[in-house]
Amino acid sequence: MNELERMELKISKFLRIGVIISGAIITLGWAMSFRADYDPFENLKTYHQISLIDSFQIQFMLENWGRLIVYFGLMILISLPVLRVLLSVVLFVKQKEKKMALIGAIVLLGLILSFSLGNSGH
Amino acid sequence: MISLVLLPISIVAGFLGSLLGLGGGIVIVPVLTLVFGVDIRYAIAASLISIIATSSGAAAGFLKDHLTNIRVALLLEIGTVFGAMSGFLLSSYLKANWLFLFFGGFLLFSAIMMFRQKHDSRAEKNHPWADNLKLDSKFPEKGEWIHYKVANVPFGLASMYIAGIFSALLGIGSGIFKMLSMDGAMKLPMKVSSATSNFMIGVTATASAGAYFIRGDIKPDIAAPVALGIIAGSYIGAKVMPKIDALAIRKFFIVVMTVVAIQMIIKGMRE
Repeated sequence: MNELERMELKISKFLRIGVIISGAIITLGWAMSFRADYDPFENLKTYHQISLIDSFQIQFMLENWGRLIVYFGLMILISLPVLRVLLSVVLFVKQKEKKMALIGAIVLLGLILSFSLGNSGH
Repeated sequence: MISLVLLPISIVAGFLGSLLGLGGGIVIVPVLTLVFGVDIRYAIAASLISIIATSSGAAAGFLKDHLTNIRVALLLEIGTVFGAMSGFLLSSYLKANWLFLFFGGFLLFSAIMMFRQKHDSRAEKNHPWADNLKLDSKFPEKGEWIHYKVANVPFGLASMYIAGIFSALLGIGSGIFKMLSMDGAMKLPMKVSSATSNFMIGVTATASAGAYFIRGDIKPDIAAPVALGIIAGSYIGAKVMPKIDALAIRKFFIVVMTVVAIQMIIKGMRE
């Protein structure tokens, strides 16, 4: 195993721990927000666009901490692959592989641009 | 109580997805929409979350087996990430019935692809980009290291863009498209293309999942049980896969997938 593979393996092990942590947080939040008399599918049969920020505020006002915790767990999960790409860029920069570092930076930029689309009213 | 039902269903979806080599999304999106009547956009967004979890959790295993080509993965992620961005934009303009039609079509395509004869074909020489970026590598097979070269890189990159669009649009890992491009066009060995595809799927799914999340389409009430169930199910699937006759299950599911595909298409035409 070369240096690059060794470092990527470390990153991947770290990501696996991240998946376990976010899974635990999501489980906790889901258990806290669980109500036996509530049918979640009823509200999800038709599509309403409510942004993440608005959803946060609504859950905060309703003091539904469980759902806020689930959101936090989901946020960690979504950020894991972003972190992997970022760490790969750092790795290639350290190894003085300029072209691969640039490729990683383009992927990272793509991810940031894609996230920003969610906020742009599309 | 009804949301509790989603947990065992998602475990089964993850289990089957991993046995069939297709991922849990292809099972859970039809279940959420056809059985529970959830809007397809929420189902797709929840499915993407489970893809990130399974891919990020499995990457270390594939790396340990020396099958993942990290350099190829990073390069092709340019295609999938920008494709996912286009898919997300496209989904904002498409009506839900088109998503059902596309999903049904994709299911049919996946069912047909399961008949595909798998054979390895090797590239004689590197594409100039592969030389430039040192993309060729080696992998272990039957106790020895086998060197391989990488062909047709621009075509691979372009088809990854298409894979990214479908991933964002339908909430799937697009593993089938990635495999077709990597072992079909770029002539990577089958095992390498499978591991590299799995490695990339998390980044592809994150590109659109992040956008759906910020837009507010990822709903905790379904995303939580779906993600947890699919993580558990695919873990069990990967453990039992070597011990059971996956071929019989695959044959059975080709029939099920065809039936579900037709139902999705009918729903798409009616809405």
